[in-house]
Amino acid sequence: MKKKTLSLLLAAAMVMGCMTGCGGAEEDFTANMSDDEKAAWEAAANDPYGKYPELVTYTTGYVLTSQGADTLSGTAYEQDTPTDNAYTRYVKNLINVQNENTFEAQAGDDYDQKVSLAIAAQDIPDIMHVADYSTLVELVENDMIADLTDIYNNLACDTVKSSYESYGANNPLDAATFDGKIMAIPKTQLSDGQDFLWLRKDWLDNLGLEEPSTMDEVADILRAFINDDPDGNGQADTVGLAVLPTVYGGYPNNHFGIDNFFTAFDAYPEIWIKDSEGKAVYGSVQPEMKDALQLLSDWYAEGLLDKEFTTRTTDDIVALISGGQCGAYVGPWWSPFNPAQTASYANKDAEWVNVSAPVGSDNKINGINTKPYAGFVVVRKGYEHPEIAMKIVNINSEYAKKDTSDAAKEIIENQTIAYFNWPLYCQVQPGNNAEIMTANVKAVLDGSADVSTLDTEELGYYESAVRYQEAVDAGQKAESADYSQYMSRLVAINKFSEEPANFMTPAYFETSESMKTKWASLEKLEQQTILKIIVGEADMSAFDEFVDNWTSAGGQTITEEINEELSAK
Amino acid sequence: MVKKLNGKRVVSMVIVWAVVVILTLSCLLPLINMLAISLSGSDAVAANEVGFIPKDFTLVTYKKLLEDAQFWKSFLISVERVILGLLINMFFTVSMAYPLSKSRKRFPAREVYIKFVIFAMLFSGGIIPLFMVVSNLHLTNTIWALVLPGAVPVFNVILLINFFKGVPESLDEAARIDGASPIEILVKIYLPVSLPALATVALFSIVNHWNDYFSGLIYMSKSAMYPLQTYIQQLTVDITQVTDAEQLKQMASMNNRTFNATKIVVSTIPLLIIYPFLQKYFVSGMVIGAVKE
Amino acid sequence: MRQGNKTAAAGGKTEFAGREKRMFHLMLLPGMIMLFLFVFVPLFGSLMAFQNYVPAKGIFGSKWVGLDNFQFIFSLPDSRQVFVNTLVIAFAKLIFNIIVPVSFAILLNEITVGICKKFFQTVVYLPHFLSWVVLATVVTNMFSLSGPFNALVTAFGGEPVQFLADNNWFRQVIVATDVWKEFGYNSVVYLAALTGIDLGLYEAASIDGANRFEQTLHITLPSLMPTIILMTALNLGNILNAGFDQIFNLYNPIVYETGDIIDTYVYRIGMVERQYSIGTAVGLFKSVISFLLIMGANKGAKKLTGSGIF
Repeated sequence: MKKKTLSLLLAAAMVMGCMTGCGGAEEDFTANMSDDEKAAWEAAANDPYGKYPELVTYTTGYVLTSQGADTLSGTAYEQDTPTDNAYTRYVKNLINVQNENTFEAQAGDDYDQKVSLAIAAQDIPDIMHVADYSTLVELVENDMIADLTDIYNNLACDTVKSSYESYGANNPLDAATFDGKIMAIPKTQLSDGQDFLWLRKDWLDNLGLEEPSTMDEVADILRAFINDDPDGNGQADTVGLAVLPTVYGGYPNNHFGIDNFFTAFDAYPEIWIKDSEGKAVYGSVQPEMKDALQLLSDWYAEGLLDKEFTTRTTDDIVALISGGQCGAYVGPWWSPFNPAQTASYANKDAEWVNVSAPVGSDNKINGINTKPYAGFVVVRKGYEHPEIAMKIVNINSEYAKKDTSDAAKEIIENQTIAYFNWPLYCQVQPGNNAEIMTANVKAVLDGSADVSTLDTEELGYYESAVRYQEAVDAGQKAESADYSQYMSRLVAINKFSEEPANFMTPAYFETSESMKTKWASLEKLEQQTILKIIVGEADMSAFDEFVDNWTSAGGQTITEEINEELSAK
Repeated sequence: MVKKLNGKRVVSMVIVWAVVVILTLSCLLPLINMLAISLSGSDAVAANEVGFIPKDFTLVTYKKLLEDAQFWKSFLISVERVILGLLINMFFTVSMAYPLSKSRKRFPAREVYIKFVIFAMLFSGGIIPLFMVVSNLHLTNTIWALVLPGAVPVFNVILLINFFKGVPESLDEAARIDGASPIEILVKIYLPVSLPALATVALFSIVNHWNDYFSGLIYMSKSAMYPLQTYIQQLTVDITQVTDAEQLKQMASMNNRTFNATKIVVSTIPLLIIYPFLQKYFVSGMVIGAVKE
Repeated sequence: MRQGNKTAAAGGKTEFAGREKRMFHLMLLPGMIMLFLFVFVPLFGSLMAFQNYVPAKGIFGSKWVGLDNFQFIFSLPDSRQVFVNTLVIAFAKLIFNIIVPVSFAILLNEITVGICKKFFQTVVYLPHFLSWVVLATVVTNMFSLSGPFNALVTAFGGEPVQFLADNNWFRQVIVATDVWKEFGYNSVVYLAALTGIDLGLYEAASIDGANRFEQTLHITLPSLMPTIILMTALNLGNILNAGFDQIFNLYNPIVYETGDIIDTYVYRIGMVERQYSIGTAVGLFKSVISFLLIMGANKGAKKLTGSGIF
């Protein structure tokens, strides 16, 4: 009896002791282990790819894509779940770590909402992906996440470190650093270069036209496309340049956005740029916009822009293009993945070419640099294994890419199916990764390097290219997937080096204090004005009015705030 | 009643039929379009070439659907939810509508209750507090999170109150004199006489539970527990919502519009069955409804 | 003796009445508990409307700002425009969402071929279930420059109009397409009410020489009136929800002037930063207005028909 009471008391004391020890400081779970065990755990914790002696489970929010689980049926991965799939098995086999999902959701609004709910309920997972900067700031300001400075410095693999550095002054790590402390591991956003004007090459050939370069040359091409029956079917059923209803933004990955037509005039809409005095100003209210708008409104009146662009959804535009009614649009180097191209290639024998047009005053395209980060991985404050975050990032940024085992091959297959992602959804790559991979693949194609130099991802692209060429040589149509890989990686990317562009780096990417409440109305003002001018419902005086209204309705305040923030850095 | 078949009558009947048929057709056509898309090849669909007749006819998407385990799991979850939700809704609707339909004389407290009920219909604390209540009650990830928060469908309650008010007082009086208790009166007199009203609120309840996708989204943390509409909603996500370049690239190479149309068609089928089934209760019974004596 | 019986009966009645009242309270109890748990308790979340709510801080940690959020909403340059749009669109929808379903219910009632009637009834209620995400494509195509409506316009010699990008037409298209989508579902209540009309009344009227049309006017409509009033009143409670899903999927910046409603505007504010406080404040404001409107409608109904809707 006494013994039992004693052990109960001891147990209670231990629990109490644990409770007082719990809280802010990291729990010492090694307290009751032998020295050998301790050493094994420490070794694992301090090695970028160290394997834990026992399975460690961590909670996280799993990010899924919008593909739908139906994409798995019929493949070897039918039974996979967000807790047990090719990626999680790979991580488990390598470092003995298993995720338990506090929530699962698709990337985008759904996932962000769940993150918000978790934060509101004060119950965030051990390690999780956070999609936007403002949420990261919220977590930092409310002391909910751990300081990862040491973890990063000691455990980040070379690829991760050099990738961040490849961004130069636009280093994503800066965004994750607060008061000199690294509070999150940023996910890199590939800088996808400049947008191109994609044209139907077969139409150009039919009409005997040259690839355009200047604004006037583009106008001539568009005129020919709408008037001269380029598809030779005897009907006037072609529209002009496809344009998104939002006109611009999201450069360069916004298909159908016509930012290039503005930047050719040195106008940078929706971007905060530095003026001649080095102060940040908003691109959409600068005088250069007027020249661009004047041109676009003339073009619209003439029909060179799709007359119904204000009511088209992206799907509608894709339908226009794949149905062969439109042969000109603006898109990034990876446009060939868009169904607009793959469908027209398969059904309408379309040939596409990416043209560096319209060019700016120095005969180059004026591109815009993107945000260098696309999300962050954070660790809950007090979690005892924060190094797991870094290890997983290491694995998917470096290790898995060099691995040629079957498990790694499974990863590649899953990347094509694209339903699951790596847990923590954070791959770190150098900004110009696409170009690097292309260069490597090309080297093998033209014989100057051996196939074995390629990593698993590049190998996939190489094999795709080979299949495409074989199909062409045999006079057949290649598989859409191979067409996409070949056209984008081996043809379109060439222009990056052949016809380099100028790049403007925005002065400011995020949202300032007043923007939280005022931006919606300012944006509304901007969108309404721009659209009305282009479609001819308002004349250029409306622009001056817009600038005045914008400035007084909060634009001035916001500009000042942003400049304050920048000078404080 | 002998209908006089005169010219005027024929003309008016022709007009009636014409209007009804045109309206019906206008509703039918988009559904036929959906059906056609679900049976067409994906390239034709991408090019918006499919009207009312399938192009490049294919059953591939339906086959794929029958093989998608999660679709059926979600389907069953929705069925379970509808059945449970309907029973719970009907219980609360009837149990609340009956006392509240009594006059102020017989049940003075109704004036207070009814104000609370209306208030509940109009005011809400928002998603976050509701989520916190549900999760503190440990209902998340269970079927109960889908059927309990909406257990009292206030709109239906008010509807039923008004239908109950229309039941003649004389029936009530007679039963009371015979010594029947309020519950017996409810079950033996009010319910049988209110079949069309009950069928109406049942329909609303079923439809509401079947269609709701939002509760599944916020209360279920695993997609394996999603009811059907939540699962489907994930599949028709707009490509413009995605900002991650890698993901965009992946998505752009797939074209799921046909498959999505198939899922919509399939999930609409139960709705096609439920309404006709309930319509047979829309029969002229005793004097009920909004006719007051 | 009779007196005695009456008293006895009266005494019994009071006892019965008392028992009955207790029974009523008991019947209401489970429902009230559910409402308490899932509506009244979460109402504490409305406090967010008076704070600068930050999810990480929770409700008790966020800063109180009193009526600042409401002041902010009303001082926005577009608040008046947005409010007017919401009211105009919602009222138009309210009116036509009564007229069309009622008319359809009456017309359908004339059709006596059972199978046909069931078929029509079922088909027309289906568009209610298609989401606006899906219908937006259909609607955009119907109203595009090359769509059927413009084909009609040009057939009559007019110039094609881009309806969904035209401030003169946007609201009409919104109302018309919403009425089309909902009339079948909305007619269910009226079809149910129609079954309650005593057929004898029609017989008597036709004997008196009234034709079908007159019968409809003098029997059917008045009989439906209480239901119509009820539905109108209940929908008034919804007046400030002019249809977020629909407008969100169909609008574009050119028609913000006539089409931007409270909910779409608040949604865009939320896009920059998850503005829970603003959203809650707007929701609270809408609820208060709805409450006042429903109470007003109840008083109006009492005056018109002698009894309120609840």
